[in-house]
Amino acid sequence: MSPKGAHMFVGDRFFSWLQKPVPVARLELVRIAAPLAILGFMSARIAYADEWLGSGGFRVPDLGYADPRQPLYLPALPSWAAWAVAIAMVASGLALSFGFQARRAAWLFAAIGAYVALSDRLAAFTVSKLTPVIAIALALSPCGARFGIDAWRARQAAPKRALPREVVSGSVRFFQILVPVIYCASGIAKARGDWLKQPYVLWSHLHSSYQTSVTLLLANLLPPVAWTLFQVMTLALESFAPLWFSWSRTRPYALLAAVGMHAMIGLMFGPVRYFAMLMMTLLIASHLSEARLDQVTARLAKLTRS
Amino acid sequence: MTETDEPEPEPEPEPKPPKRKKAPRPLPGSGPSRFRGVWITLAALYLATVWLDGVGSTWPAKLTPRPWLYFSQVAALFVNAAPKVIDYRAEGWSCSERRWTEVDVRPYFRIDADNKENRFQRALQFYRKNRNVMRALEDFIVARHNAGGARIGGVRFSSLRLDYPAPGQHVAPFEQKPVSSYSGEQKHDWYWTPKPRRMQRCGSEAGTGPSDKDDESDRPRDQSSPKDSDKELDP
Repeated sequence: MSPKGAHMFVGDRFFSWLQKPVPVARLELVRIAAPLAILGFMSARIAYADEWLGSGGFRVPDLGYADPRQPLYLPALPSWAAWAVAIAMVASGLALSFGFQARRAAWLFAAIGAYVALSDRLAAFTVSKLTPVIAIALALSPCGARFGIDAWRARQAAPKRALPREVVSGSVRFFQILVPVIYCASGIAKARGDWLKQPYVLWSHLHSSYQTSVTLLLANLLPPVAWTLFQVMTLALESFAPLWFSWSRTRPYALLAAVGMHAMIGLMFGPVRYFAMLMMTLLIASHLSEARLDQVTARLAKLTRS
Repeated sequence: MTETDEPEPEPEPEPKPPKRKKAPRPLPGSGPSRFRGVWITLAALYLATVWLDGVGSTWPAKLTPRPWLYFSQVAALFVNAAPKVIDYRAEGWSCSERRWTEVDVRPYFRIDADNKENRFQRALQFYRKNRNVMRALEDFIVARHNAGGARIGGVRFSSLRLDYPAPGQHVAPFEQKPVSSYSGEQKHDWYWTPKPRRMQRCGSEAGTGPSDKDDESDRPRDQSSPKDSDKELDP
């Protein structure tokens, strides 16, 4: 341990970690890909904005404070306003992804994301709830500084000024912690649920309208023990995620396993594919090694010529 | 400092690293620094809420505002085995035929029309025991249906509880067959329009009223138990 490290308390270490520069690609990957995954999820809703947010669809009536499934009652919008919100959501999401006025776009995207998640509980899922959280984190970061339209304009204005390769951002640290926290809580919940009691929990979820052709193929191809094996691996990955992702030796394997898990979820549970994309984005951006990120940065720079 | 407060020896000057091409300075985080502590605290609280709520603690529900809790409920999906495949259906009381006939509600709930993320499926999943919501859903479906076709005087909402094959057996594609093709054991009625309201809506077409079931003595239950409403268990 260095002499400096020996005198650092946990809090100091935390703040030192928080203020350590990280590759800007960690932030930019989330900024580029997360809004696209979110808009992909929202596309089915946006296409019917009047039914989703407006008076053209069924609305759960105001249930008062007593109902925990309705955290806040928001009345239906007039049809024109519902379409305006949907258009603003697409515009702000694309602006964020393309890095045009990225931080302002992120604030707007967060506000609309929060509104739509609260407005229609029936069409809100985990992606809806994560949208404002991720967008606020992006809004509080210097996202858009390296790639995208803002970066390109900055480059045009001052050609000699180098664009940043690293960034000091609590938002990146937030994403790095968020994923293992979600996994760990899910793993413990699963252990408290049926995952330690029944060997075929995964099998039991293969038969609903979430089914895809991949689900059918694998369900009819793999032996039953494979589903138990996947179940054990998922439980181990999720429950001990903070360990797997904080220890540098296990991190690459944990990343591979988690991305593989979400890829399978996306392929086997059709409507959940955008959730899988969002989680894979957060995973790769947060936990991919710096060497690999450098490669990503080089390719992105080549693409955007910045 | 150590307990003896001895001054530490001056560290040896480290050898200078080889000259590299000067990299741009890391970009600092944005936002005024006076708010930084607030954001860090909020982030920590959010992560704590996600974890505590996910593992099943009741603290977040007791201590945090409900919108905050709502946006924190992002973990703990698929924690239990599915005992059956559940599919919710709607039937309408045909004024002319005086019997229940299946109503395809997908044209009135077009978002994710063909899977269980559909808003009709979700309304039943969350609120099937809440009479206020079921009545609002009834009004909505009756109005929509009567605007475009044969009149119905009321609705009946039910769930189909279907077995899935045992591990290793052949898995067939999920299929939505007509509700009439399922047995009574597979179907559970959750809500139906009381007879007087069906007759009132049907007016002169009502005839002698419902003949298949006298449901006035058997009102749909109204049991919004907080137990099964606290958590969202789907993705």
